[in-house]
Amino acid sequence: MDLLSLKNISKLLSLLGIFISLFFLIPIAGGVIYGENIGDFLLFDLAFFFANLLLFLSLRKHTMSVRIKDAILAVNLIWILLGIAGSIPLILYTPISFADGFFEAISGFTTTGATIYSDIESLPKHILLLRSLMHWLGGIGIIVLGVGLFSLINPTGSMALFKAEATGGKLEKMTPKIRDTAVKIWGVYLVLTILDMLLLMMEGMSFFDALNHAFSTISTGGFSTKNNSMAFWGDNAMILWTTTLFMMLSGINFLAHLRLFNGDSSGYRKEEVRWYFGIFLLLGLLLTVDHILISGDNLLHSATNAFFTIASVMTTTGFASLDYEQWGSAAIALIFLAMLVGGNAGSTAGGFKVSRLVVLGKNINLQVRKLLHPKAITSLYLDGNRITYDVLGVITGFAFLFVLTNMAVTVYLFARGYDVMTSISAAVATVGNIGPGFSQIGPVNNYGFFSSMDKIVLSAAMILGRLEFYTVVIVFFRTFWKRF
Amino acid sequence: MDIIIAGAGKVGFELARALSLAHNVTVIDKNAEALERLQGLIDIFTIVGDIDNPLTYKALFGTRADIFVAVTDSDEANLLSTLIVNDAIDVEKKLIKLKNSFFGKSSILDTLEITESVFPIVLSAETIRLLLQYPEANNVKKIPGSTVKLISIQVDNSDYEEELVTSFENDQVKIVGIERCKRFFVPLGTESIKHDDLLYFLGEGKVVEKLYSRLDLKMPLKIRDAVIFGARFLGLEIARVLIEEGVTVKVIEKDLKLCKRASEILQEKALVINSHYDEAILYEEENLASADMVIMTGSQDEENIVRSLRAKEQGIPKVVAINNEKKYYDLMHKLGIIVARGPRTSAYYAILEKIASKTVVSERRYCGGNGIALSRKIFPNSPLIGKKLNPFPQKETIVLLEREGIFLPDLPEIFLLEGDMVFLFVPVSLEGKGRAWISSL
Repeated sequence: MDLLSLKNISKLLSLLGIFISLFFLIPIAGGVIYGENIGDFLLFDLAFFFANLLLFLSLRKHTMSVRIKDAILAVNLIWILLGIAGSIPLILYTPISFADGFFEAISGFTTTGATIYSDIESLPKHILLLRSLMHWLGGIGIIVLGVGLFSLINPTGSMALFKAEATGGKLEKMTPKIRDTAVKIWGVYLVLTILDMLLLMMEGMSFFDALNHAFSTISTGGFSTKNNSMAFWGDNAMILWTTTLFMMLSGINFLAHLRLFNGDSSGYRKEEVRWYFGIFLLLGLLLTVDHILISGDNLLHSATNAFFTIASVMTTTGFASLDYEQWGSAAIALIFLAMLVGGNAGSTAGGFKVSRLVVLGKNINLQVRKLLHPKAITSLYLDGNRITYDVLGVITGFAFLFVLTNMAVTVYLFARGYDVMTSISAAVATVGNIGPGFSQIGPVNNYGFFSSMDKIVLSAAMILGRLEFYTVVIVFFRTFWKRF
Repeated sequence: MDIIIAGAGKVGFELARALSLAHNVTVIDKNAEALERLQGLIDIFTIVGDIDNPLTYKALFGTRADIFVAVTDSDEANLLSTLIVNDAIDVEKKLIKLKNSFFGKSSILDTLEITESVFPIVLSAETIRLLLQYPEANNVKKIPGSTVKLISIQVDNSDYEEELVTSFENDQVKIVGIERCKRFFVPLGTESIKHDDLLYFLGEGKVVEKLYSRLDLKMPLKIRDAVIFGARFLGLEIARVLIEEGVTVKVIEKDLKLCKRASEILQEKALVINSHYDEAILYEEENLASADMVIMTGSQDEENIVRSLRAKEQGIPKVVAINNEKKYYDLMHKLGIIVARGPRTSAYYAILEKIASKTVVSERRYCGGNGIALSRKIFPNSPLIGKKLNPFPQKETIVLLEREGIFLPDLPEIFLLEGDMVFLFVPVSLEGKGRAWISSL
């Protein structure tokens, strides 16, 4: 690590810090509107802002040239910075430890939606707004935001940063300059959020709840303003279906939405999107049937909750409309399957991602074909594009890291004395950025009971999942730190 | 007419030979030797040079021509030459041969002011589509300018009891040729049909199909699985047509590079197999013998023939080979291979028809080139309207007059109308006389 890297990273972090502190003014303003005491929050925010501003100004003459290693390290540090910055207001206003605050903030920024609070409704409104805002900022990727911003001061290195954040996913530009694409994606993000909010308000939510849930839905986060999550509106089928729709939309590649804004619907005709909806419909139908058989509820009620739950888990949002653990083992199995699917590449959803599943599935098909036809010349294709062995290698590596990370977290939690169901589902729910799991962390429970160390481990699991492993794992390789 | 032909390959040569009889033909090619040979055979003017080099056209600067035809093997050269010609010569009509069918769907040809274009690979692939649409027939040929088809059927049934030719005929179907013991003749009505005959029906496809049941055919009712040998342009185009028709396709190719390209283009729609080491073993390994149809798309007829014989030995019911050179047509046919026109032949006939679409007599060779179907459409303002047909002086020939799908009886009494189609079917020995008769009706 040389001085140049240090300066590069410091400048990046300070810029992001300034940006975050400006966004924190939104919950502060909220607090003012609702007549809450926000003095400490404001003080912290000002201190945070000026500290970063000072750092930035001191480096203003430094011309950035972000190299790939700088970018990777910066992205890792950004997430730690986010965890710390987000935790402080929480610690200031609620009686929680640093580990609690860090967990909650990372859960927010990684759009996981796992919470340590048991009584959410008692939290001040500006803290609720802060939690949702962390989702919203984290969802679109601080980096996509940053790319637009950083490219202003760093015309050469912005791609390196984008690549470091979006590992595995193919970088698909729609404009010659990545900044223009990033800005447009922001536009789509904003439009979807506002649309969702307005619909929720029309269907009976208050402005505050609608805003928070829109933030939480479009970012596929999962923080709610109510103790029993969306079950609060369990009788309002319209709200549940609207949320289902917007969760599913947020799980699609945002470039597809962007294309639609340009009058081109081809983004939705991709194989990944077809599989995504296919899996959603299949699991939703099965869960509906299962629900009807177990509870005897009517079709509409069953379908509403079943499809809502599958959408919520598949897109890694993590809202709950019912305590799905009471639907029996078959339901739990179906929901667990949905947890492993994830959304589309290029969406706000986390998880394994449908495109990777499709490619791995097609690879098995290809290997079978090659065994049956030894002299056949064939390849892997996705949407008519050949998947090279390089890409397949990245995806299989990802799959292995996904399994490995989940196993490691499961084994750790099990060794700490939690039951199997809690251990496995907590691993999958944090690594996949989903939120709720089963047993002790079921939809009606929370993560508050874990020890401080467990919470730090789970926070790391969330960051690993959010950054899709490689970006984090690479830092632990000796070659990364070698100068030559 | 003054006609310029760019390219003296097989298509260019055949065109020059056919057109030079009645027109002033100039041929341009970079191969001086080929041009010299050409000049020794036919009466034409030649220019040596690359067709896409403006300097080549120096001798023609400022002159005028009725038609410019670009028929080299390179799409790029053909396209570019039409641009250069625009600049150098005053040309009325521009005709071009292209491999890539994309150009046909784009507006590029209009932009370049190209009057007519010919896509021989597409034409050849379309003949294979006809075979799929009439799976029970031996071979199917379209007649230019008409909806009736020339459909050949093999009488397989050994218990077949002889029937008169006329018992199959009505005003919509005629039998216009029989091959018996490798000998072709145009039958009279009194002829009877025997076991093992190859019959040539003329009529609408649906009408001919109704006769199948009487002949107890052994061909597959539907083509489900097909093998294509060769993955060049033609092989891929045929694969595309077969896939479109819902056939499961395996493409066999020796060259690894071509295999990779084919796999890239066909992706998961067909299986591309590399036959670098041993082609024969593939029949076992890939169970090719269970295919309903196999198509040889090579550009070498000898290779196509050898492969066809191997496929026939394996018992594949429909063995089709692309015929690239006229001299092999009869041999292929005699060996029991279903012959489809290759791109060069398709290009030749298509261009010829386009050059003189309203005056020329169309011809289709059938039965290994031993039979010739000559046809002439009566166009509006034709001087033939209102005239009667002169009888054709030779026996063992058939003259037919088709009006709206019906073959009219009592020909000498009928006055020709606009839209009528006059047919003459003759053995190859009467080719010259037949052509003279139909041209001078």
